[in-house]
Amino acid sequence: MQYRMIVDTDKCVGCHACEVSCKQEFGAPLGVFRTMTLYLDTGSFPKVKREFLPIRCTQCEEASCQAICPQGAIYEAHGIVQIDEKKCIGCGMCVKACALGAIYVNPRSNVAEKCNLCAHRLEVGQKTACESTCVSEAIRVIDLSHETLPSNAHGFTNRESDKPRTLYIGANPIMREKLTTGNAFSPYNYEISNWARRSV
Amino acid sequence: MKRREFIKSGAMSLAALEMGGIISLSPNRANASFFELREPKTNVALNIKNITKIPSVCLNCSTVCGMNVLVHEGKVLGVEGNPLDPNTRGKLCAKAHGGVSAIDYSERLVYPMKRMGKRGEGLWQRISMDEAYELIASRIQKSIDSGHPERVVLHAGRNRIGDITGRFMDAIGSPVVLNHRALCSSNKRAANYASIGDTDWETVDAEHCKYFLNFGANFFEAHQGGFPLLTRYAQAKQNGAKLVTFDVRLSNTAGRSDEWLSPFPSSEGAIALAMAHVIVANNLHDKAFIQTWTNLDLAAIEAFLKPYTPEFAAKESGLDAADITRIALEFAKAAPACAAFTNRGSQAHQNGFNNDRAVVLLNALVGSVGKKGGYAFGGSKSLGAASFPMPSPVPPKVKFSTDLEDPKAYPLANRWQKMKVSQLVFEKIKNKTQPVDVYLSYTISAPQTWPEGPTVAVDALKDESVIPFHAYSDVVYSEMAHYADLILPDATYFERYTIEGRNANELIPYFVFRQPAIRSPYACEHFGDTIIKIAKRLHEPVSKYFAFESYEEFIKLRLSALPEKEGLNGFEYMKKYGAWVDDKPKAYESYAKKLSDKELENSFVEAGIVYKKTGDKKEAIGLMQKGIALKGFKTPSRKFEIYSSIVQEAAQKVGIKDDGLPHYAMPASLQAIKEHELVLTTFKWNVHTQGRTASQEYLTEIVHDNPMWINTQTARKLGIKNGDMVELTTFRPRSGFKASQSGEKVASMKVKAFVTEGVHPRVVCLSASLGSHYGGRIAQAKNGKRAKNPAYSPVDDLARHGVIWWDKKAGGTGNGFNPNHVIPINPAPIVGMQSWNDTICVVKKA
Repeated sequence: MQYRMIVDTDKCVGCHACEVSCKQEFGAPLGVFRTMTLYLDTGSFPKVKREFLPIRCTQCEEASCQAICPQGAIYEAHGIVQIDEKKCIGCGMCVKACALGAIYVNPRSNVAEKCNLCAHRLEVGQKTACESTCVSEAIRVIDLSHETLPSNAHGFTNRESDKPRTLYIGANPIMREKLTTGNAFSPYNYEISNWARRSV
Repeated sequence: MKRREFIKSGAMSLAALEMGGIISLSPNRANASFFELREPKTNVALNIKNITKIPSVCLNCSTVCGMNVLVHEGKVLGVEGNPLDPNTRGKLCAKAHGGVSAIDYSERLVYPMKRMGKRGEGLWQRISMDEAYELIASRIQKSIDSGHPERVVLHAGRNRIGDITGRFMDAIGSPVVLNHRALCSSNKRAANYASIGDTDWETVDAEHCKYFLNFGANFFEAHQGGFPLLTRYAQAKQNGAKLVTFDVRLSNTAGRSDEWLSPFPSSEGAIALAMAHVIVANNLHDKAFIQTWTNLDLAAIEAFLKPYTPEFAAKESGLDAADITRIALEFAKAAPACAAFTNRGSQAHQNGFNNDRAVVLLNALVGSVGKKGGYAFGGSKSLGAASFPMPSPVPPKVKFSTDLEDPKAYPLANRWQKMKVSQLVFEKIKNKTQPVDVYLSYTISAPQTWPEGPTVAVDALKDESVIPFHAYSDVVYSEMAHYADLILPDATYFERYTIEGRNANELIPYFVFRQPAIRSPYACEHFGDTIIKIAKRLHEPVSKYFAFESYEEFIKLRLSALPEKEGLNGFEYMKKYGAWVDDKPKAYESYAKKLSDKELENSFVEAGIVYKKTGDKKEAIGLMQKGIALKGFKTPSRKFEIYSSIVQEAAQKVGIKDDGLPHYAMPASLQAIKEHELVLTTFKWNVHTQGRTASQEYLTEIVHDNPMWINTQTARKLGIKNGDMVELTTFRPRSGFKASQSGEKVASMKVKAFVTEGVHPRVVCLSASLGSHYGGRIAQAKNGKRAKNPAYSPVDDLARHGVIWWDKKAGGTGNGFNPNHVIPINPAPIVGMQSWNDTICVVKKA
């Protein structure tokens, strides 16, 4: 099995179901996110449009978080970059290494967490929490041993050297300005005053 | 047990505790029954291999999507869509997942309470449910015995258990059942009823639709039935469908439409009629449909549409005549796989009824009514006695009505469906126009969600001389609870039964089944069960209508007429699958169906209409078309009504001259708007419903602050920058309720500004759902210790909340603003719909 997630932002309707189902799946604390749907308003009245980007860990090849972890707690299997909770000491170096902000240290358990393509679900033949709830079928996890990647899906990175496995269709590059290397996804991205502004 | 022995046994358990589990010990209680061990943190991910799925139905909004509740060892860990729900087919929105937190919310009401001190002081004493039943029953009995059962009022918000609450009110003989429909969509429903008759809500056959012409619906985020519509629109879009949205604000729907046009508020009717004008002028109308199925001939239609030109609509709306013309032509060319539909944006105005009739008319003109890919209807299952019989004996219907629930000043409010005009009730109660003894409130928080709720509703609710007794049932201590005398801890929708359903998106009758996934905790009890228990304490004849012991038993009886399926009776089948789909074809063009021989028994024809004789009454069942008896529409003419005699007569009753055609006229307030004035509108978010979700942490984490949207140019002229505090002042409407020609002020409030390109320059928008004063720490955005309340459980899960990072004291943006401080009560003429989007206001830097 070689899993790949493809997120089609043209299909995304910005409903936040993926975020909330993910939070509920893991009972995650407030203020930290495995996935966030970023909003971007562009244009001038009356020609204004809104775009959405559900951003989460993109399961990089030669992941920087994996490289920096002093405990060797981060490893890759089946195309998913995973964290071994028993080895993690919560030092936060992985958070500093990630250019997207996709990883955070859980303030309750002091263990690093990020999207792991719901490996626990894939293992038992179920879809990820986000894919299964997505009303517009914008999220798809495929197995490269059976399917091919769509030609219009590309990596979305906040650092040129990153090599993401998760690919996006239609992601607006301006969205990068909402991401900060070395800092987990900011909850302030949700504040409406940041929908059009670039950085938080 | 002595303290020493207790600690010894306790120590063993402490050692066995896993990380994350916490014991709360009460030092003075050596009794082991007070030993509260909170389970170690568990979640769906940890239990995915052995999780139980219980089919049920979400109720975080009115779309009632089928869901499987994920349960492990008696605890709800999450939800997923029920793939057997033919509407949503396994998909769920954010609110469905967010609603799970309502079960264990630390500020959930779990014990009944009785008021101590003055009403509104917030002092309570915990009582038993028995005492609660007795207090309520004795009050109701008194009203019945005094010969005035109508002094018992039931006011419900999202009441999906009308089967039992209706039975109760009928049994005690009171017609005063209040609701919130006129605050939701009564203009839209009336428009469908007046035009089509069969339905109050269309089913856009979205999967096959090629052109979606949307006037003010935000189905990406809200809209009853919006979610199943959205999932089908998404497919249609993949197949090249176009979505055009008219909305004053860039909602998510507008922001993702192929075209967004922002009209001056309330001008939607002019736009729709202009499009109709263009379609007919360009010969793109469906002549056959118009001739066969509408009650106006082409010449009369042309005459009616004559003044409504694109230029006229451009003047009213501020849009380009060329765009209006082009879109009309595109829409017509896509027929019959096209649909023009509405919601708050076009209907929540004083002229909203005709705005919506004008939009519905577009479908008739191009012949998309009832067609594949068009403006379909029917094929939905009635959830009433016809499909699911009420257990006998059934109490007789109350034969009189009162002004509270049946205001004659709004003759169409209850003409087809009991929509009522509930935004007027508190003013009436305050003014003692009708005495009230007992006020029962269920899942409603009028001080929060009503126009002038924080003022007028509160004035009535806190006055014991007008509401002597108020019993409240809900899951959270809301603004409404604060003015009650008795609080009943309701079950969440995860803990009870309901026969559920909405429009069938597949146009095939279906229904879904809500069932308990877990037992109600502590003393929480489903209000349906509470009503039964109270009824049993009332004297005959009331109690004889409640022979069943529980709402579960009542539901079992109601489902007993279902045929067996897979060797299971109806109840067992629904418990297993959660959804039922009839074996019927899709309900396209139901009006063109031939009446069967059976249907035609005892029938006769009079002036082309087919009637069925029932006793000495006659009931219209169809019409003759070319010598054949067809079903037709459920209107007086049995055709799609462009001219409505019902509307003409209703208008006449209240002294309004109306020729029965959907003429357009801008409401007086908006007509007279001054240069410096703006229009205040309101809206909903995709993660919130009106009054229920602010206390649900994963939803409120995403949207908690709701600054007022104001256009960039407008803000610049007023010297307002993004984030500035501004003073918003609103004025009474120039026509209708408390009309004032002199600009009488309603109220002022200070609110934060959100400067954006995504709103009309003359419009400001302030959402519903936020700015609570109650509802616990999540709703109030307050970290710190939980407030003391005898209705709360002993367990306060501080660790689960984590930090409420949006708390102002933690540097966050806080919990938002409630626009109902300033939105005037404004029922639209004849129907009574609350004109949410008509408020004239001024804005200045605070």
